[in-house]
Amino acid sequence: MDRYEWGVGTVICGVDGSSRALLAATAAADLANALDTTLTLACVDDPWTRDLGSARSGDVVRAAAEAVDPLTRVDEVTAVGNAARQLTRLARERDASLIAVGSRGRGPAQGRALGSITAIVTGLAECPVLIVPPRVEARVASNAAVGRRLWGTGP
Amino acid sequence: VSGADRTRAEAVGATSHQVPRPRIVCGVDGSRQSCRAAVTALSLADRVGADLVLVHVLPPRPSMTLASVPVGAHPVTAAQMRQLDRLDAEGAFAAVEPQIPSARAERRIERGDAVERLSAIASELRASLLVVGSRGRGPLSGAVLGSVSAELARRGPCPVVIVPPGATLGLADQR
Repeated sequence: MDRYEWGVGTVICGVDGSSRALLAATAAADLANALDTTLTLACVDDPWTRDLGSARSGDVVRAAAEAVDPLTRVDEVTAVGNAARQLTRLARERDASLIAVGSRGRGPAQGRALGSITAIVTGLAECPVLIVPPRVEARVASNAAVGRRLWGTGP
Repeated sequence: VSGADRTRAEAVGATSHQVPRPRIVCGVDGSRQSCRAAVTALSLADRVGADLVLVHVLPPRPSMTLASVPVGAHPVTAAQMRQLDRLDAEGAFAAVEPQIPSARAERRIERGDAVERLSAIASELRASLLVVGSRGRGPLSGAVLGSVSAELARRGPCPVVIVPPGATLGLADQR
């Protein structure tokens, strides 16, 4: 029986405490709401790159969960290991319909054209990948005052 | 939708049908990847009640469609080049025709730089999403992420959905 007849798998979004990741979470939440599915917020602590610094992955996920649309059904999950690999593994295990990431996150890849994690996720993913470019961030910031949502034309 | 529009819509007791539907723009080039992307885009559009616009971007100059033809082998006239470009665009749309009948999505042909044109259309239509395959027919088709998708992710005007080759298309499996 094909489960997709009944519903769409969760939208999973990687967060690392950066503002770009938070923006991706906002977009992912809006899309999850539009698709009538859950949002899974995932924070991966990579002991090798230590991208999270002193932050704890559980706190990062919780902060992101509080930042998104309160009507969103949110699952929180943390993992340890390579961020791109763990994120795609979680997506596979949870039958995610979409993986969302910011155009780049924290860490050494910040200055590059496209974050290395973002590029690797796209290479490993078994579902479509949603990326929120930096230009969108600027637009959303300027729209924040009037409370416009990123997605669609809904209230 | 501007704040004024919304207020006006509320004032006349408008239903959601009278609010402009969100739009999803999808780039197609006839490659298998772009077909996958188009099917994903249609599936997303269906689910969220959005309109789908398929865009095929022709190379900046007509002759560039002929990259695979040996230079100087046969002189090609401008009219023939235009003809080839037309066939190119028809081919790109024909490739998605089985999954996406004409009535389900608007089709547009543009000419220029693919990243620039797709961004411009997404901006113009105030698209909620821009959907592309992870790579198309470009010269580096072996790369994990094609230049068009990578560039759109870097400087696109709206959130970009990249559909990788391994995608099982959970969203589209229902079809």
